[in-house]
Amino acid sequence: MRTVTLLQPDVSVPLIRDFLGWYLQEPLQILRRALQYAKAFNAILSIPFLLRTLFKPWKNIVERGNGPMLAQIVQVLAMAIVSRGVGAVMRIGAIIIAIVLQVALLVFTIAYLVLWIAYPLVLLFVIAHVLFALIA
Amino acid sequence: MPSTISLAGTKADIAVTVRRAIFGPIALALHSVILGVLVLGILAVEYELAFVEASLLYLFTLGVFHRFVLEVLFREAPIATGEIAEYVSSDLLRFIRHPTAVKAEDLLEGAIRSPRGTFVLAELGIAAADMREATQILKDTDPTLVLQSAKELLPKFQSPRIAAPHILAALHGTSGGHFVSLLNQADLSADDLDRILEWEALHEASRRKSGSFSPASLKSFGGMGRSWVMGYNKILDELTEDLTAQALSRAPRGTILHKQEMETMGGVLTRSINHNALILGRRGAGRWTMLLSYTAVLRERELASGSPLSRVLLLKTQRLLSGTDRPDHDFLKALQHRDTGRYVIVIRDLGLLLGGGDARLMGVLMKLLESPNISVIAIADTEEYHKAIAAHPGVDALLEHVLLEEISEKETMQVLMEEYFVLERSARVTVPYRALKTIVDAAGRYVGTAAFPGKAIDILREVVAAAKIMQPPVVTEAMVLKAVSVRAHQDVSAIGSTEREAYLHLEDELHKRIIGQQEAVRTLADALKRGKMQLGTRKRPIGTFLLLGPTGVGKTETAKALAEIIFGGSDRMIRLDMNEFSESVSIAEIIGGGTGVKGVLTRQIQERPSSLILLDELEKAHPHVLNLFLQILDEGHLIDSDGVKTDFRSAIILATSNAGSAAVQKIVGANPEISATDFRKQLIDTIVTAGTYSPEFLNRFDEVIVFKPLSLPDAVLVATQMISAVVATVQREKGITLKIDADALTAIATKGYSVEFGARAMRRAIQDTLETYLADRFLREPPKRGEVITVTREDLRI
Repeated sequence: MRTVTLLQPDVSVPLIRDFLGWYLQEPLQILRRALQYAKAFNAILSIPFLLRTLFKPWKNIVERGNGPMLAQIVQVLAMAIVSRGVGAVMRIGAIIIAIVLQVALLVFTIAYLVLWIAYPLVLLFVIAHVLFALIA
Repeated sequence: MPSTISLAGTKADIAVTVRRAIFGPIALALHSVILGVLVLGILAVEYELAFVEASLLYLFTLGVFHRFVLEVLFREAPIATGEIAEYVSSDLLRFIRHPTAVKAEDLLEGAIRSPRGTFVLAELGIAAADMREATQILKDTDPTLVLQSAKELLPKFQSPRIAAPHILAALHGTSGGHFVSLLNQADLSADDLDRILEWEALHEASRRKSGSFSPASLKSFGGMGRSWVMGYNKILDELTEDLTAQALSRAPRGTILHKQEMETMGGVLTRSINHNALILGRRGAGRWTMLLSYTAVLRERELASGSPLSRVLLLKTQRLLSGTDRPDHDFLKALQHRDTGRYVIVIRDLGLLLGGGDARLMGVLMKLLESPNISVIAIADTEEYHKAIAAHPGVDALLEHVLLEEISEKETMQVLMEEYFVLERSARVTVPYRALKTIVDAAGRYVGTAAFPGKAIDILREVVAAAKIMQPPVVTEAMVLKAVSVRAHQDVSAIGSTEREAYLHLEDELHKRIIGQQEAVRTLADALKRGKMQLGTRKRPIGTFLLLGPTGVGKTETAKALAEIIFGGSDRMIRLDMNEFSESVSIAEIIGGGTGVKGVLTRQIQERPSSLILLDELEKAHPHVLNLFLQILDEGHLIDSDGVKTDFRSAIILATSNAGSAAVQKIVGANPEISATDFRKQLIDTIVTAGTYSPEFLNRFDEVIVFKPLSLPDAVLVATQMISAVVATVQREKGITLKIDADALTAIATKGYSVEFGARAMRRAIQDTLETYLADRFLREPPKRGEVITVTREDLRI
């Protein structure tokens, strides 16, 4: 059995040392990766950009007026309200999705980090919980 | 006792052992049991939370160890110093059964069983069972030597550790020639093995690249929020197609061709004035791919720098021409709605737009070209450029030309390999290296109408699609040659064997048709065989010959015979009468003169690269024309003023010359029994002394073949050959057997022969005598089938 060799101290001690070293450094990697995902989500759905252009006409659909002056004003105004309104609604929708994505990422990252750091305690807790459940 | 090496206790061995301990078959069974018990616990104890927690935590723990194994233990960092055993990768070690005592044959067995080794053997076309025969030969080989050889290969393949491909490459030198003979059986060289190993390294890198949901891949989707304010509108959507998405998904990620040209184009497009580019190149040269690469790079750079995004839009020219009443007004108005970024309008068929002659469209185009916020990229081939674009100097002046030259066969091979990775994933088809090599060789040789890499990629896609439904799904060389035959308009499937036969019996076949020129025919045939055997490495035509000698001795007949014997038909001969190219401007007629009209020679060679070119009466050509052909003789290709490259490497060039004809009589007159070698030497000396050709010029040819004047007995043989053809025709068509008296034959030969003009008048003599007699006779007495007619000298009235 090759796996038995893992029990030899000259193999197991460096292995455990490597594992602990990696385990303690990993939270930094988790944070870095979460940041990369946050940037990627922001590239797809950019909240600052959506806010800046919140009331821009939807697909740039605008009306150049024809006919009498008053009719023109009404026509252009109506179209502006509709186009900008639709634009704002769509962008607000996109902003909400972007916020949900970022918040979900944040929650997941925090949960993952907490679980990672508190893993030994969580392990003990769960073992105790299972034992307690079995006894009960 | 064979020597062994221990690989136990190395970092790779520990990695493999840990992986086996946690994720091996026994461990996986154990995990299943534990998780099963936990799930049972959940179900049995009324969804008790503790069991849910325990199940999740168990999975999390497995995940943690999985990451540790992959990221720490299996990470192959370079080793500065250390025992040779430390260099063995865990990927290889996984397939070695007893790492404590590893023999050379164990290394081979591990390499054969590992996926990377399997890939290499599949590409080599070598069966694993054949490779295993080497284990017998390796029985006494020191495994340390094999590992040392493999380690020396690591810098070459930029690999930190020894994996299966390196073991196979090392065995090439240490398996006592077994691997070499397997390679020979597969018709592959050591260079081919190197290419396959480089390819495998690329394959491995492509397999390991980050997945679709990595942050980098997600970013390449681009920004939704940004694109909503960049002037989307109905007219623009109808008249154009956004290329960014297509570029991000389809632009090549590995080998980027034409990088220099792409940078030049990028520079042109960002200028403040004259910011338009015209990509010029042949079909297949990669014009569209370069555009997609540019678009992808542009988007990535703009996203990285946070600058406004440009929109690269393909103009639907047909729609603009037919789909709107006021194209100028509508399209330009649509482009005005621009808040951020800039527009890059791509016009694929600028010739069509300009050819229509619509003043309004011309107005649109000029405004696009002159607009400060809009850049135009037009794509055209040189023919289209000269016909349609150069005719509009106003438009042409606003376009900066970016010329794409055809890439080399080596680069094409690289592109094909990467294309194969994509096709392999979707089609699950194996394309052995030999098949890829055949694609490049055959496309280069027989498909002259398109450029690399496009023509090779087209063939690869076609054969992969055909192999998809086969069992096993493997592309063969025969399939490749079939696909090439369709494109080349000739059957190249059997060309290898028939050509080999043709070259093998070339001298005999030529002797059947060329009389009295033993020395010339032998020299010609030998030189052609040498040229043919260098094909592939040779950078010049298969053979280039200057045929010297008086008129009527068989020089042109030799060219016709060669075209028929080697290329399968006299229609494969391109005959250029150099009389017609005695002016310097004649060059344009031969190779095209930057007018978009292809030259008579380049057009025919592009269509049929395997042809015989006969340059008749070379001495009459203008010196500039001669220089042009010297370039072909030296380099094997020609780049015309349009930048189009024509490849002459599959052609044979024969130039005939009557130079020194006057001296022939003197030489033969002075010594009628002169040997062929002496005659050759004296004639060439005379020509060089007279200054007709310089020794440097003559040296440019593979051989200068001198044809001796024909003697009367030779002329009789020529007459016999020609009369035999007449006799055969009469027999076939009229069923009459002709018998020609020996006297009559000699008389015809004598009439058709002269020392000065050789056998040039022979055909005329046969017409005037034999054919005239037969015509008279058949008119006088209509012949009956089966009749035997004897022709005497008296009948012919000679």
